[in-house]
Amino acid sequence: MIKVMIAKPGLDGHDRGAKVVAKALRDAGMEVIYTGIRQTPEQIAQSAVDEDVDVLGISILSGAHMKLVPKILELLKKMGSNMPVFVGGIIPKEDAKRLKEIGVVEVYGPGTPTSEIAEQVRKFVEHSNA
Amino acid sequence: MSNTRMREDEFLEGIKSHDRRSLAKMLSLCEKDPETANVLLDKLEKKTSHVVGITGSPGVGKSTLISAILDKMNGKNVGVIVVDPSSPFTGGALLGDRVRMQSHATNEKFFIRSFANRGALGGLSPSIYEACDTFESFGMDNVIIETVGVGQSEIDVSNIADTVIVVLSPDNGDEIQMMKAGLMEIADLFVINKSDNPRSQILLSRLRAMTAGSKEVPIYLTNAVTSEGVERLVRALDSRFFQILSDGTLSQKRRKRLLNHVKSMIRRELDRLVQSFEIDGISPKEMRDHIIEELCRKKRL
Amino acid sequence: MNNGELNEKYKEWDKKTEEILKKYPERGEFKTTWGGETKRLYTPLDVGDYSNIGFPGEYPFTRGVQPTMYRGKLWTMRQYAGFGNAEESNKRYKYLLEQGQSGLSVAFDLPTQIGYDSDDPHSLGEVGKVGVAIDSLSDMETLFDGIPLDKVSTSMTINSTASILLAMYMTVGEKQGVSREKLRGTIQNDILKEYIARGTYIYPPQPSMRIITNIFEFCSKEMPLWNTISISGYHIREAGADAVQEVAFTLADGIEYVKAAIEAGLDPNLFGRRLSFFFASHNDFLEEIAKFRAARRMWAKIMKERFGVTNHSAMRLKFHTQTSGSTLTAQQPDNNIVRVTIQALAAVLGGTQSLHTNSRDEALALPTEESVRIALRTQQIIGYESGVPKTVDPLAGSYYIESLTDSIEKRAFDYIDKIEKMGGMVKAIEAGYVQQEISNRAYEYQQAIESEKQIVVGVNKFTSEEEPLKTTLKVNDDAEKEQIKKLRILKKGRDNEKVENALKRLENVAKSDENIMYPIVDAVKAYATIGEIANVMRKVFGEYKESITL
Repeated sequence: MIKVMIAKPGLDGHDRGAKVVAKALRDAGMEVIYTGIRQTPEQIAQSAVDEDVDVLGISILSGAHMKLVPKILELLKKMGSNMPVFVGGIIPKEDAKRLKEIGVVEVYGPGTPTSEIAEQVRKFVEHSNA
Repeated sequence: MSNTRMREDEFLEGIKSHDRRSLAKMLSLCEKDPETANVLLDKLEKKTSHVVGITGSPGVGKSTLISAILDKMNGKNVGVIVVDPSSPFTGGALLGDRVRMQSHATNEKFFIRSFANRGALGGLSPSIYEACDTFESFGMDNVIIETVGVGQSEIDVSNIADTVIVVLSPDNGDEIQMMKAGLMEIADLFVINKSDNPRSQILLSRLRAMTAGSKEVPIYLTNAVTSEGVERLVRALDSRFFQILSDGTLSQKRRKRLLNHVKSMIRRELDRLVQSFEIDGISPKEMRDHIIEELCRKKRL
Repeated sequence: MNNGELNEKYKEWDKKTEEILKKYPERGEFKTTWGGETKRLYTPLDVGDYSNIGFPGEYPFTRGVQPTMYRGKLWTMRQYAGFGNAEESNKRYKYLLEQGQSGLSVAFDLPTQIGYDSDDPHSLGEVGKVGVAIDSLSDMETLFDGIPLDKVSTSMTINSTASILLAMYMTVGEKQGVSREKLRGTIQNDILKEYIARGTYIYPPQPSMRIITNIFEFCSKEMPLWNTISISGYHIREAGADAVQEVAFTLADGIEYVKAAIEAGLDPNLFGRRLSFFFASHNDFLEEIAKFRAARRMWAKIMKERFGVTNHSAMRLKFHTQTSGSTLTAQQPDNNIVRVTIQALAAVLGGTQSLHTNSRDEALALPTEESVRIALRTQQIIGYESGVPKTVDPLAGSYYIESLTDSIEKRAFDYIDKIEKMGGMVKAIEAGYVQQEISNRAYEYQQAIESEKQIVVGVNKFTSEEEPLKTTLKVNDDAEKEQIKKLRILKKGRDNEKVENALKRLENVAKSDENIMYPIVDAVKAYATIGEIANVMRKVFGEYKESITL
């Protein structure tokens, strides 16, 4: 059983994408924990570690991703976790590149099919268990 | 599972030294490999936590109430187990109860963990006994268990909890009428949440009338959003724990819990055997005999 | 031809067509966005009695709120924009005013919208991101420095902290020597849709509704020219609602506000004139036109029949429209110009009072200046070249448009009745009902795209490899540091005892039944920060925790 957390850091309330992805992953047979909106990096990292999820997905649309995502990665590392982290939202190309450099496994822009995300989540889990 | 076995010592050390990450991993083990978890749990000392079960219809505010209870648990170590339903078709689940407790996510005294019920009836997770034991081994003062809350008969929580709170809300129309069989009987405490709704007084008097004559079940009014009445409830829980500890109720409850834990282990083993059996060309009776034989041979896991 | 004859002819035609279908089948099923049937052909049989359509400027306002509509004056082309700090925004406003613009539209950053100071841990990375950062009166003074507030009308997109921002605006006016009753403008102040869709709530619904009615009451006494609410369906639609849900939930919110205002002792005949609405314009061109017409007719009926309003101008649904941001695609972004054009045209044919057109690159990042210009030009081309504004409500009488208008009205009223039975919109939101309806529709839509039942050009069909747009705008990251520095200086320099006292009084009033606006104004004048003021109310009212309805 794959356990995923979908988290929304930052203050924007645009949770349509996060909810659609959470539902799609559930329908793909996964156990999905949704944190709700307005989570601090500390809340997200601690929750992901406490829930011992296999993958963490971060949805962000406010433009604060370059501050918040690195912070979450740093906290996870500090807590001794190397779980795969993916990001979805409106992320400019060069930011996406930078995020991947610092350890994000994938960045999904608008229009990504949820089936593709589900398939890749399985791969991330296989990869991290190998 | 060899991976897990290798780390057995690490697990034990981690739990003993109150390492949060070990607790997280141990809880995963309870779900993935409950047999191994039970072996490990045998090697750990257990604190007697006050295990509080919270049940009630959907929308009565169980998660919000737990969050408000945590606000008033100054200095105590609390483990929270929240259970959500799995889809019977895909096995997937959305675990959303945590959302209302997220303000406590970074509190080092509290540990919140979401479980899917994975098809278990009765509103709990199949690994609930192991998970609860794990929290007690970790040294929690309280363990709070929130049942699925989809409106099925969620009375199994009385098999594990020392104290069962049944939460009602005046928003839910005629709640008492709609209440599923058994739910009234397992309550050690009633909470009428959303006390700001004027109809809560009507609900209160109806509930009093209904419970009159039978065993005395205290009723508390709360407004989990503003925390009104929650401190009183928390104090009542504490004094109840002291009470059941001293009057022998607790040891009876624990005996019952132990037996239920054992039953759940046997059932799990039985399920596994039944699932793995080739059923071609075999009568039900023959199959039963084989399985019992197999069970007996397996004395030790 | 009477209806009986027409019906005969129609059946004949239908029978013949069925024969043809055997040989040449249609492309598939055709449905409305809410899943209703779209017929092959609409005839007079579908529209019933024409006489209830009425005239523009007259009840029930199906054809428009004014008798001459765009023949008198085109809609207001209003583009919403946000900039990092108060100085930058102030410069921009002055430039716009020099260019002849008379209205300002202020976007605030998220910490300001949610009542956090810039140095709050929650504000990390968000300061100055989607709008200007305001921590205290001092920032507001900078924002409107040298702008005569008696000469401009200011629209502020602000909801849960609207009371604080309004108090600041008023105080800046007073310092300029402009009295409260002369100030003109709008605050969005629509908290219900924040719980449903947009997410910048702070307190639970009940105390939030109280704050809103306090604002209504305050403004009716002190700021009679101020528009106290803009009831918004835009964010509801963007969260995934269909056209019927957008209308139904927005008007249901409106009903809740009118009820609250009446309970607070306000006269809906006067108060109703201060209400305005805000809708999205989505892709389905004809459906959107019908939606705007249906919404107008429904609101007029609600105000007249339900609230007994007799003043006609209090029955008129005036609205702002924004083209739908969620229909923009990151793939082949230039296609978005075409989408925006169709959506803008629908808004104009639907009779909007003002319009914001989105920029092509908004699915990628903040829009560049060039993209913003194209978006504005799109409106100008519709206004000055297309010929569409020459006559009022040109599509009236189209069998399909009238039938759709009727059917949206009927279905939306069904929803409203259902919500009423649940005890009104606040209860429906607390139960998570509205959020769930929207979330289900959003998921269905996504599945329709993935199964290619719904085609999105450039995304699931007609895709191509392409170079991404290169020149996307980035926000200056230093804004956060500067803003925090300013805040520290402010806290040292002000009279902190005065702040304490003002906050104490605010707490007492919050616990009582008195109007909360007055102590907020005093706290603002003492330079208490947004975070400090909001925290006092958090303590008294509690915080709303979202109802998870996936």
